[in-house]
Amino acid sequence: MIKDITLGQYSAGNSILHKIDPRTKIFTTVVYIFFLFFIDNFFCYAINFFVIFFLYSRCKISLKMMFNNIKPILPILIFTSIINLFTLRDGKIIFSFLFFSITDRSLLFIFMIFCRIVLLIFSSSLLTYTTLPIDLTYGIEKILKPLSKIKFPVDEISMMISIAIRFIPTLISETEKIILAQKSRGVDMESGNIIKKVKCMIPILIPLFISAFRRADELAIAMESRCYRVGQKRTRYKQLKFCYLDLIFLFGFGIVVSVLVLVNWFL
Amino acid sequence: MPIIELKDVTYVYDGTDNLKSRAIKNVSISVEKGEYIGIIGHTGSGKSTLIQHLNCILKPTYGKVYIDGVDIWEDKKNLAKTRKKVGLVFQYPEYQLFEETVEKDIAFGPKNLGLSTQEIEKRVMKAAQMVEIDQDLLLKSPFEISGGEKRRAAIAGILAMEPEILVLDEPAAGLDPLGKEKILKIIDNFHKYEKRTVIHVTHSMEDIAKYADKILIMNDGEVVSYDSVDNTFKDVDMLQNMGLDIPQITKVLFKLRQKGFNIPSNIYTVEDAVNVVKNILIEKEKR
Repeated sequence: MIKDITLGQYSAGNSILHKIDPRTKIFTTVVYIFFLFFIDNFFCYAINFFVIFFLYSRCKISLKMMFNNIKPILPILIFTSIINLFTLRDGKIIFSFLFFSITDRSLLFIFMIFCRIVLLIFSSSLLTYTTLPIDLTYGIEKILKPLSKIKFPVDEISMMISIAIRFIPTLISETEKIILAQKSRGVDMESGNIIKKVKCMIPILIPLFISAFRRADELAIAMESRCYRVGQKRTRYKQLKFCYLDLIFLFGFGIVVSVLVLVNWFL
Repeated sequence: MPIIELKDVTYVYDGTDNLKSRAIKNVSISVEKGEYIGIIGHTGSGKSTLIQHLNCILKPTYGKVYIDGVDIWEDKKNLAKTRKKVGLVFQYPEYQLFEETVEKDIAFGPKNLGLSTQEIEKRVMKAAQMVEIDQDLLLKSPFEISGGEKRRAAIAGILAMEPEILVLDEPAAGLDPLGKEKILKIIDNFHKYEKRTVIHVTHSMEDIAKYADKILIMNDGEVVSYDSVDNTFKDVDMLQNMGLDIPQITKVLFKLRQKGFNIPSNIYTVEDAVNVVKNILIEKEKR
């Protein structure tokens, strides 16, 4: 049950997107999403979908994995679409029933919003599919680095995030162990009303918290004994480096964006 | 009728039918009431998986598990009953302590069994006595006592449920020699005086050679041998091929025997060895 939670959704591969620097990916994703909100041409959406599907196939990510991310927001998307469908009033009325009416403009608008959100999710999950959570954090740290000039604790925050990511699997396996142990001490977690079920969480949560604190304590000692100090300059074993692949990717990205701009505003 | 019977139990851990993902393969064993069984094997040999089948934590993919002649997966209602009969002490059980006092923690298991307050109190006292936890320790928080005491308190929590079968997964792991000896003694006492069946999983021969009636050796998910302690240690080469070690003292005596000394082969404890060697030295002096 707990095993099914996907954490970070990195899917190992050997594509150009896997190889390039996380900073390039973060930058292009942000710029891409920004452009997405200005596009209102059908042809542009077609190009977008084509590019996204092409990238997904290059990264060898299955369609099933691709659409998995849409599933959780689908109900909200459909719900807001329906609300929009009946409340937007400009344009020609093409269908009306009692006091509901649907206009041609509203249909268009909904279709566009729908595509926009789907593309937004596709593009941002492409980033997490091809970047390890740790690399992603490091990339963000590098991008936010200038903020440390105004005393913003960039290093510390990225260290915190890295540690949090690192310990999620550990804590999950720990939780599973504790659940099994308490089950064999007679905790019945399957039956009973909600109050009983909440009570069942106590023998699981307390040992879990205690072990999390214990681990944090041990980690702090281990870090200190290796001379970790807040506010000190640290070097990394694995350095991020831009390579020619980044240039190629940025070039390709530039072409796509210019085509989108041309098609959207000048055709 | 054997108290535990496993028939052709195979467990596949990821749902596929891949041969590689079989944690245990066609395990068939039976354990008689009151026996002390030592299960031994290398890391990843499937010993922990095996014992989790005994109290409905894992469901065998193929095969059947009978406790007291009852197929434990036949009826879902039996689950609580099985867990009452089979007490399972996990690895590092001290990490499951959670109550305000040691006393309350030991009482947690019996409370889940739905016993009366008096009965619970009686059992807690008895269990605390068995694991040598003093009266004043019972009122302390389980987080302010020492590691060895925590371990014993956690084991007491299972003992207080008075299971017919006590299953322990590496109960002495990570303890100092003294703490280790104490735990082993507690288990032995529970077996001897309460006449309960004990299954003790370990990777150290030294832990079980002294106490077990039979030893089950697992390798790569399969049962390699299931025999008395004496017979198991006869085949030193087989054990060492599997990366298992015989007790140090047995090894010493084995070497002595090879050198032509007249030493029996069924000695696993230092005390017995001292006596044997002493006798040999006395005889030598006489000559």
